[in-house]
Amino acid sequence: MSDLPSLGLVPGWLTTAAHWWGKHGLLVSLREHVIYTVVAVLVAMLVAIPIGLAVGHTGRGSFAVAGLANALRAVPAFGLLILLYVVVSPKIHYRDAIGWLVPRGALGSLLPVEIMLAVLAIPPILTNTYAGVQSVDPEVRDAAYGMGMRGWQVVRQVEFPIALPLVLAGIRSAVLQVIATATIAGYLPFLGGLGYLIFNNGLPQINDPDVGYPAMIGAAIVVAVLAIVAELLLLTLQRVVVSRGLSGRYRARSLPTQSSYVTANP
Amino acid sequence: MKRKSRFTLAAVALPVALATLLTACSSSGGGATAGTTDISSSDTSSTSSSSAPADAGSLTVGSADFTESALLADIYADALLAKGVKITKKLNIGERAVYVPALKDGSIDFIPEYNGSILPFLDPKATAKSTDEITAALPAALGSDLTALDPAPAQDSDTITVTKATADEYNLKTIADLAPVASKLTFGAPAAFQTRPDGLPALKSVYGVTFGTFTALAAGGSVTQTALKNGTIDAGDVFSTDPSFQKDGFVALADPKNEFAAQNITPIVATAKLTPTIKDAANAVSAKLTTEILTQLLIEVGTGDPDSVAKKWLTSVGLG
Repeated sequence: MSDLPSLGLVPGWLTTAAHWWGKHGLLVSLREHVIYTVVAVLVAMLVAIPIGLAVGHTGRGSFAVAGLANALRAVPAFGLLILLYVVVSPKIHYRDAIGWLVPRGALGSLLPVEIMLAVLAIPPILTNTYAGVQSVDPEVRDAAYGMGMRGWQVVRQVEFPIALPLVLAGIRSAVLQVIATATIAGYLPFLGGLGYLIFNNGLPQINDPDVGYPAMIGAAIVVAVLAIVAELLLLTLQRVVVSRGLSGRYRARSLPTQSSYVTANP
Repeated sequence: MKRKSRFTLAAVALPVALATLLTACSSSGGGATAGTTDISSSDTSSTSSSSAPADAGSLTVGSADFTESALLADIYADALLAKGVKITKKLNIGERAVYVPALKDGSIDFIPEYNGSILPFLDPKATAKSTDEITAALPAALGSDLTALDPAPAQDSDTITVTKATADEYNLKTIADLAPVASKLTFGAPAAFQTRPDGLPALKSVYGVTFGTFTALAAGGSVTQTALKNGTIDAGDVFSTDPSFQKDGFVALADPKNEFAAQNITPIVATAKLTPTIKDAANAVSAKLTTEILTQLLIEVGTGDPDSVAKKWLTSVGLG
């Protein structure tokens, strides 16, 4: 493998404008990658959070859900993608584009990709949601009922907010996994993503100094940066949405300090 | 306590699932592990070893890491074994860049190759396209250490392939017939097909064919088959031993001007290990091996064991 183009070509590759613009440039690929990721994680959230809340709240079916979610983690992504494409795409006869979301002809390919990515994203969100709800202090829950709250009110106003840090942690790990796995989307017709530059275009002509090894490493770096940026964004979101009563993140002067107690109550 | 115990269960289940995932990943990447099967002379039947000429020789047979290559290695190895050659199998080694050095350093002595692929690998400036041209050019490219045996009629080459319905609709027989209609059609092939010399550039320069739309997809196999069948693409790059030619009635368009190089199955042997027995036995196998037979054998292998399919076929043609 000593014939591979030098790693030293990577910075030059990444700073060449032509590699960012164009039909399969980094910008288009990045946009596709983000779309695949966001759609899949949103679908996974819509499925996993309600189920996780229901299981956590009622305590019923947690064994089945834990088993199912963990079994899903073991599904090999590429095999599932090809299987879904063979099974799903023949049933899709719609060929036109759907807004900016689906390019022309791509629906039959996009559905298998999104299902595959959502299947990968569901387990971490689902298990974290019900674990988060189950770990709510029983006394807090009892207090909520004691105040006259009904079941769904307890879920919405007590259990979900308290479970939120864990739910968000689940979403973060789902996003990371989906960003990493969305690289295989380009194996299907009319799809791209950053993996196009790695697997589709790079790997078969790995010795090419322009589209081979340097492009693969360059695109992989962009995948890694995207993952880090997504992680940071979600961490920021977590700071904003998690109740300060849980995170203990108070501005110093908004809490009465020990000394002010002392002076206030001599 | 009840709730807490459930949470503990989940905590225990998580690492177990992760371990399962890791196992799944490593087994799917199994191409990296080369399976080695030693067939000692004691395993061979007493008849073959007793009737063997003293100079039958011994060989280490290798293969690339995909089913067809392993099947071909099994076929040749089992045929040689039947002639009394001592065989060690080192199958699923890897790609050409890995096994060609192994041939040169003596780790393996024999590998089934594709003549139109090994030639440009050894000599990037080679221009030979037809079987005869390649056969003539190979000895110089291989050097004196390696010898190419007779090429089999069987080929695993790129083909421009359409469904029966598309072929009938536009009356397509050769790639050239695509020229007037290609602008209406969508073509699917691996991404590199857009730039490689025998890809889209050759379609245009050799046959004057320019497709209306190109889409990149996974090389060969089920994605291309599915995309062709459901009409996502009208024409695709399909390997000539693809099972879909027999299963789905796909039509490979003829390539009279040799856009694609011939890819005849051709055994490459270490010259130092070559005996008359090995040469004759391998050439006898090659003579019987056609693309149709190879395709049929690949369908029989499916995801199963190539060796048993190889043995069965050899017996049926009197070479086992």
